[in-house]
Amino acid sequence: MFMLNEKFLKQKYEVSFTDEDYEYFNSVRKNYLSDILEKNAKLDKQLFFLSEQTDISEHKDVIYDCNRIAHSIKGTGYSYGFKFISEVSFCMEEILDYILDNFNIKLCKKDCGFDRCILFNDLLTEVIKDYFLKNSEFNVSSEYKKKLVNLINQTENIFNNGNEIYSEKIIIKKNILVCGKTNFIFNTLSKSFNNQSLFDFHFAPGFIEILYELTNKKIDYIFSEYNLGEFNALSVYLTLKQTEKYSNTPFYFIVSDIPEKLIKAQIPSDIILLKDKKLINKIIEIIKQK
Amino acid sequence: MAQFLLADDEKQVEQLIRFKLSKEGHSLDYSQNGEEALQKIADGSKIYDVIILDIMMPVFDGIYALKKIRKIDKYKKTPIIMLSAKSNENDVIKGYDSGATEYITKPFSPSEFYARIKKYL
Repeated sequence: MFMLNEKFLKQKYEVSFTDEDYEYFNSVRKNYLSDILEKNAKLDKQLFFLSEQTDISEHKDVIYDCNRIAHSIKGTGYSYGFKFISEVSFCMEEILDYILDNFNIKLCKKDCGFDRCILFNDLLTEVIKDYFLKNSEFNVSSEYKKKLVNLINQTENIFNNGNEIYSEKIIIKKNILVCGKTNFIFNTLSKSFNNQSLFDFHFAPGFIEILYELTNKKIDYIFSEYNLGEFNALSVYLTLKQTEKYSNTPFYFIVSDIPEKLIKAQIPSDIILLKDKKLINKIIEIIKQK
Repeated sequence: MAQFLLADDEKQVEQLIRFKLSKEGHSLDYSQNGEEALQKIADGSKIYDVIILDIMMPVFDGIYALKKIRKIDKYKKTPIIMLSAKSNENDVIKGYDSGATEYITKPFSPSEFYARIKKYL
């Protein structure tokens, strides 16, 4: 749940300024505002770049950089008596934090978080320019405050109903669990999808590890070798079919020869993959098709 | 008159601190990151009475610089003030564990800043 509004209302930076402080701020305000405007322009460029990407997984550094700029504008804004500058950059920092926190789950595409940040940054530009004009004024007009409140409410709404509004614009990254006594299949698959960020591969050599992965992540596909030490993949499969979370998750058996137990359990043949030269290609085909 | 050393990548923070310290008759050397601050200390041409380190900095962060400074005999007891954002409360613990004397959260006003550090002079 994205709670920008609540966090915004809770933030209370109590900084008391003396007349002497304000005197100093007035003397350096133009330099300060020019510096902030420069940062604001850099932020705008980077946010625009991010909003143009169809896949941001390769650009985490740029997001961190944006987050750092927003964080720095927020801090110095308060220190220099420009509370509103800090309030707007606080919102950008929160959005970018949210994107980074949910990085493995959602890859935001166009119109999602970065476009919201651009709107906040536009407001920031407007406000800084306004501060330039009003030489000794540290407060902003109620019109800007209203704009900020509207932006906050819209953003919260979009983020919390994001899947409906942006159903076509959010890519859900798929988690693929590969189980087996050795990690050969896992390594080969990971390498095959090296440049594609739509899939995350996880490896589990035994029952405990499988349980760990299934509990801590939402696994979307499971490819398991039949023999798993003391257990076999059939017991894992049957256990999962009884759970609410994984009853419908595609499960594929990887076998050298089809074990009798699978035939007895009437496991459909299309989820049994023979460990032959075509195995990796078959798995890749299944993943891509789904 | 005391000699201060500040390491913070925010130029605005430097201006703010310089303003207050110079008004009170102190002098300030400035570094943009922890590495630069360590070089100034290692250079040995000045002995700093108070060192102010921001925690989040490029190259060497404040905690790393703090640990390195505390290993230098001359600076074992020198007041070292850590600066950081309010949200990084874990840093407070890390800072004190690594030998920080005081921890000031950003944002701060120049007057508040000076009121907090003058007891170390």
